[in-house]
Amino acid sequence: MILKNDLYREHGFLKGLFLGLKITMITMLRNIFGKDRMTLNYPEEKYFYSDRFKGKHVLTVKEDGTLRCTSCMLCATYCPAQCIHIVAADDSDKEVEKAPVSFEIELLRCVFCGFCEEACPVDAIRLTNEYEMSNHAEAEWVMDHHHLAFRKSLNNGRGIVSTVDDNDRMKLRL
Amino acid sequence: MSDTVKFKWNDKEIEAKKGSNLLKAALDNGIDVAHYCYHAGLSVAGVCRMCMVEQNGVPRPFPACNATVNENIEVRNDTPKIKEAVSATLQFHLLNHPLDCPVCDQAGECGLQDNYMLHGKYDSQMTDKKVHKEKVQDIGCDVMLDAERCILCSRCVRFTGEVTKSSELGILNRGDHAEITVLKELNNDYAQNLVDICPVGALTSKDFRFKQRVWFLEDVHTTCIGCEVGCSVKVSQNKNGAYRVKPVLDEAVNGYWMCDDGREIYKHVSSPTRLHSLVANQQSLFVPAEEASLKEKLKNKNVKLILSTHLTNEEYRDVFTKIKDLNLAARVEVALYRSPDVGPIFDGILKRGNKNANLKGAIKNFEQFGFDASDDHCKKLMANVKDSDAVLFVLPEMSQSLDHLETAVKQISKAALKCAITPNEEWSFVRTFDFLCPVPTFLEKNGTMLNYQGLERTLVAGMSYGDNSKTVASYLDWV
Repeated sequence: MILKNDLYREHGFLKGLFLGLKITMITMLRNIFGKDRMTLNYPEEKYFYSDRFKGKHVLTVKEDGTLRCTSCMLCATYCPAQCIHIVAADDSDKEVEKAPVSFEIELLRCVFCGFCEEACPVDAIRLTNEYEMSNHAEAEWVMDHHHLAFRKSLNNGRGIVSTVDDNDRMKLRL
Repeated sequence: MSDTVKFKWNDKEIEAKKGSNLLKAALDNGIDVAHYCYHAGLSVAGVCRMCMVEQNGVPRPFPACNATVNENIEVRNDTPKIKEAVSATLQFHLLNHPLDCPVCDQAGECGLQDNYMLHGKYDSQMTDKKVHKEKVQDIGCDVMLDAERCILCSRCVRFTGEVTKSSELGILNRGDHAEITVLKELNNDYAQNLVDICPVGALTSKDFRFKQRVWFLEDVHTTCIGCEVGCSVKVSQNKNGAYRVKPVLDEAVNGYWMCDDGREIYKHVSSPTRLHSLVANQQSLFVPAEEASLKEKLKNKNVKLILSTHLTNEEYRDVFTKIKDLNLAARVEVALYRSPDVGPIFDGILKRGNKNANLKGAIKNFEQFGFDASDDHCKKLMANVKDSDAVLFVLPEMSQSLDHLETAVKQISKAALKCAITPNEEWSFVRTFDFLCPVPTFLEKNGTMLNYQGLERTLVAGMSYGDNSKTVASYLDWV
């Protein structure tokens, strides 16, 4: 199928070809000589996606540095790929009551739909704009909560602190 | 019988006994009425005000749980007035509710969640701070109390007062500050029923605490094998294992309740000690073995077969017909091992001392096929075990008198070949056996049992957690 049929009919083959490829040619020339290149020299140069990008998961932490997750299992319930595995246990803090002892995501199974993020009632899980994921063995793709919350890329291992709704929730507290 | 009358509930005609409870009549006829405090097994309190109804000729709405059925009355709970009343009542119930559904074990089967979807107001009109009460209280008998989640329906207070008559619970303080309190630590054999009857997450089970969310579980309606009562129960399970046991209403046997001992019966079903194949004893370690090795050893031996009382009627029949069919009667001697009584014969509520779940059925089948089911015969058989014999011991699935069982196992230690037919290798004394032969647990087989009343109780198979390919009778093929 010839897309710009009218150009061919009007200008003939060769001129029509160049006219049709105008945008492509301009971009190509700009990429070869120009400054704002579309192509990146990955991995030396990296692309930064917006915060809305659905990449690798992160478990947020409270101000005291513990996981925000209460292991309510809503994400595991909602997950269409069934890649979230949580083991809950009693927490010594009565205000917290329930906390995960193990939180695992099988990244190979994950479809990065972001449903876990939506299901979470306490903003404990987010999808970040981290897109570089490469591993060898299959077992390395099962991310435990130490990696999900405290990997090097997250505030140098201190984790991402979330206080969403904290004020609202505490407002009604004594 | 003649006093059965007809009346109308939201234009639906219902038949019920005259003078019987109005709410129960509606619930029994499949009408969904929001209620918290009413429980058919307890007295009427009328405190939750959720089952409000209007009746023709009665000027004001009233709670259905405290009214009786009468001829030709017309009751409605779908009028705007009632809907508003129920919605306002629910709003009051939720005023101080901590809304900690994410950490609450009741979430998924909670009366507040269910009714909130139907009658909730969604936006809180409360401007004051919520009243806080003590959370995470261990009140004994594996029951956890969260006073904050409580809606003060008083079901638990009535249960301890009326059913167990131990009266450990009470409501303290007034108004907003009223809360359920343990007057003394829970100490009765039926405490886990409190968890079942609590319509919200105030009383939860310590055993089930945070193990699994209820929406991941499926219920299997089967029979408890804890004692000779044979309570009707449901076992909640999923592919990872069984998680809890709850009673199911059966007027003839257990009513609404079951004892705390019966709550433990799921534990051996999906325990890590379940057998996944035939195993042989190698220096007190059990390693998977070839079937042929056991077959060879059993061949042409004199076999003493000791059956437990946890088998179904069908299994006893299969064993005996197999003995008849294969003409094994000359070589195989059969006896019935009974667990000794634990505690009083009957505690006045449900629990019985005789822990032999299918004793009646076993005796019936033994007699039918001309075998001796008496305890004396079993003792004699054990004492007469020769060192050339092979013993097939069908161990009870669970036992509250392990010492007695251990002595029985020691008695047969003379035998040349000792095989335990058991679903798991939990008990330490099974190490004296040469082989462990896997069989299904009660939760993995269909069948019937006879309880102490002689009533037939049905076992229903749920999911499988071990090697269930063989039955007790099938091991006789190898003799």
